[in-house]
Amino acid sequence: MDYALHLAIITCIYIILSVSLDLIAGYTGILSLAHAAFYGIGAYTTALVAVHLRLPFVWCLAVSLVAAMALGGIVSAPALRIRGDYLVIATFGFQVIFYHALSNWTDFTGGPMGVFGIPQPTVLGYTVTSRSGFLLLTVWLTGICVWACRRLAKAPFGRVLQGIREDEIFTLALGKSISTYKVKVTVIGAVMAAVAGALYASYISFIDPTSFSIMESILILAIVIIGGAGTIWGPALGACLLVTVPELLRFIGIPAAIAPNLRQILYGGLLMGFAIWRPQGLLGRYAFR
Amino acid sequence: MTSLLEVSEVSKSFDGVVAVDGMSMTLCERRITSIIGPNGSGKTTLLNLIGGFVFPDRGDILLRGQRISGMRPYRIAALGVARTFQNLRLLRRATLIDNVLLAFQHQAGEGVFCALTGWKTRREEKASQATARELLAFVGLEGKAYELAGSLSYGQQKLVTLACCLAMEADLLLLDEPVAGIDPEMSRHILELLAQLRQEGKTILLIEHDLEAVKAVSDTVIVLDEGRKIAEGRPDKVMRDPVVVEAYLT
Amino acid sequence: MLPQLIANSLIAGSIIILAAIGFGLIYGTARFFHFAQAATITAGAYLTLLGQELFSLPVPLAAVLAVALCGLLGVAMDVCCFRPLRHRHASPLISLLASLGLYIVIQNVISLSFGDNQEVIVAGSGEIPASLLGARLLPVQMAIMATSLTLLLGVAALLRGTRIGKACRAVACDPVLSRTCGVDPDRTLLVVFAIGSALGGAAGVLIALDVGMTPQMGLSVLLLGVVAVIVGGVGSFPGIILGGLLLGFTQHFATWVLGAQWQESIAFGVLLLFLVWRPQGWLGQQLETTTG
Repeated sequence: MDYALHLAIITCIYIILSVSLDLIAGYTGILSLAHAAFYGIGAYTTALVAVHLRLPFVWCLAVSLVAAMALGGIVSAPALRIRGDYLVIATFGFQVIFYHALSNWTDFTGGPMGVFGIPQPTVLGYTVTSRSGFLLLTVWLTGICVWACRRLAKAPFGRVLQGIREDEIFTLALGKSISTYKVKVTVIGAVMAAVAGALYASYISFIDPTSFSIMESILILAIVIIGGAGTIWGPALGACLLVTVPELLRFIGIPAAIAPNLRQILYGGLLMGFAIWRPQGLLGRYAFR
Repeated sequence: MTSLLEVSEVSKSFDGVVAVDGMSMTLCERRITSIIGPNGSGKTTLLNLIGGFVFPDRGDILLRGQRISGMRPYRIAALGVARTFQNLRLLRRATLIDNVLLAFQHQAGEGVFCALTGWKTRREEKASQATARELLAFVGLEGKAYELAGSLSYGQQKLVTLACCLAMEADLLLLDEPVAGIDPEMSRHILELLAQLRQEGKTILLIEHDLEAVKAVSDTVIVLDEGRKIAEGRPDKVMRDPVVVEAYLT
Repeated sequence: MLPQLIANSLIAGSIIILAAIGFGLIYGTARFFHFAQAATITAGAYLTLLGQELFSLPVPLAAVLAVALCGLLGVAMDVCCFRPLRHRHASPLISLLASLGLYIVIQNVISLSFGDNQEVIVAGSGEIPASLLGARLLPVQMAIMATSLTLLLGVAALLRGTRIGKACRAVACDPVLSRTCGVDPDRTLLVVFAIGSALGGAAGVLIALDVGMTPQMGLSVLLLGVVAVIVGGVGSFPGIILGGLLLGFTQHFATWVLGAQWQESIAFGVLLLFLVWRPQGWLGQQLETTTG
């Protein structure tokens, strides 16, 4: 039972990560490999604020969101000048620089040792100590994020995002300031990923840079593509499947030491397979462009 | 006869190649002006300059007296200038109605707050849908409103882009080859629509190679050659001008 | 101090150039970012180790075999993964994603087979440094520079003069149209992947001989190569040399000032600067930039 709760919490965290990336990559067409950086800044900000300032969860979250907005703004800058695969490389670059900052800025972030002893979150005076309590908090925040992404996608805002993805010049000629939209969607995606990071840090109570590497970014993107980019529900489904299925490997006797590698092989293989045979993913209508 | 657009001594070069050279013209309201000329004479560059996709090296462009040269394309579009593209830009993987809906200006739902809360957007969206269907009906495509734009014929796609221009409620339409590559019947249909739009108060500047179409619908014809204006005036007069004939035949 | 710094920069630059050539060749012709080249680079190192430890082959022989196997690996990648994508008219982004997936799979297979610890290839006689113009260079480091230069010149000559070179340029411009000129894009790309992957494998072997190897080494090295290609300009061999050397020098001088752990960040900082300021690189062709 405890294990099922744990699985549910991790699944929810990845749902938030994947639907927020879907807005950026699936709807706007900015294939971002920097999402783990947004995840990481949420986690680290929450961790550091909670450990050093001992503030309730809502304040940790608030500071994390501000940090994520700033990082989102910075990361969106290249998208205003370059497109396509070069933009992917630029986001890759940001991700790598962020990871090295986490690993090397030892005085601030604890370096490779990470941050430990993150206290359990305090919400409205009540400290969440049980796993089921944490699941409740997580499901609530996940629901808000998914709802927000869905509303943005269905609104005229989402129409403009898709216009940017399909034909930027056409959308520009229709009077839309595409730069503004690119910055907005990146910031929104970053903020949501930071929420996921805040939850993760508070749940695991110990974080280190390896959870927020380029590999993590690739895996989140893989979930979006496999689930179906540009649908919100697709990446959510992708997160459910890709978080739970590798865990089931444990039950068929795979030793714990090689499980992480196998999990990554599964993700990589599925990403490759879907890219070749079903680029629209499980629930998508059109192939990702 | 009020002037809507004034192009004043505009020049533009790309890597040393002169595309437009000291071009001046005035567009009057409620008129259809056509630009013709050999390939490479600077016609599309002129449209790009007016639309803000390219900035002039020299000269000014004024829209109702306001300087628009140097403004970003989306700001010029918001001032009431709509354009189509020579290589037919539109959203092929979206429905016709989604294409037109994208073109509406200042939708509340384009802002994050209204998109999330639904403030003002529900009513606005209903009204927009109705207007979009009307515009598609105007160009004769209402029946296909929920089909993907990519599944339409070339000529029908051009009609969709025209509907998008109208959705922008633009006073000035810049149309790059609106009837190129289209069968005569569809061509006639589009030209009729343009004439009707002129009646309704729109100002149209179009680029075309089809001289019959140009004669049929234009009030004024401007001829470009190598980036310079070599003739301007009524269609029948301009097309008999020996300078023009020589430029087109050589 | 300064001569050593320059020597280290040149060595680093040579390694980057070596990583860049293979990648640049594939990108120049196939027109997508082949991330799995990182896996090929890693494979080159580990296959050499395998040859040495399992089959007791002398290092040079093991290295040559490893490079050849990497060429075959590249061919396999093209046939199984990228050719089907080409025939489906996949966009460069989809091919990039597939290549990323391929990288993940291969890197983890290497991790599972060899473990994540750093390994070295013991080369034997190459431990005595020579002194050159005030700098100390190990024989293997000189070998890296020499090999890098030779391979670069070889590939440049191949592309410039021969028919395969012209075919590459045709396919790079327009694969469909190139058929009408009698160029078979599939065959051309097969050769390109073979050569490009072999070059990647060679880079992996030399790096392993110099500093050792881990399963993650390929990605770091490749990224530096990608930066060199972008900075120097896609489609330009002088550009790759320029980009590689610039990067090598920037990294080492910055390391001297800031410390070695910031090396990769500095490389990417340079990349971001170029992407925003001059996306076509120093000597390369124009890219499509947005108008905003």
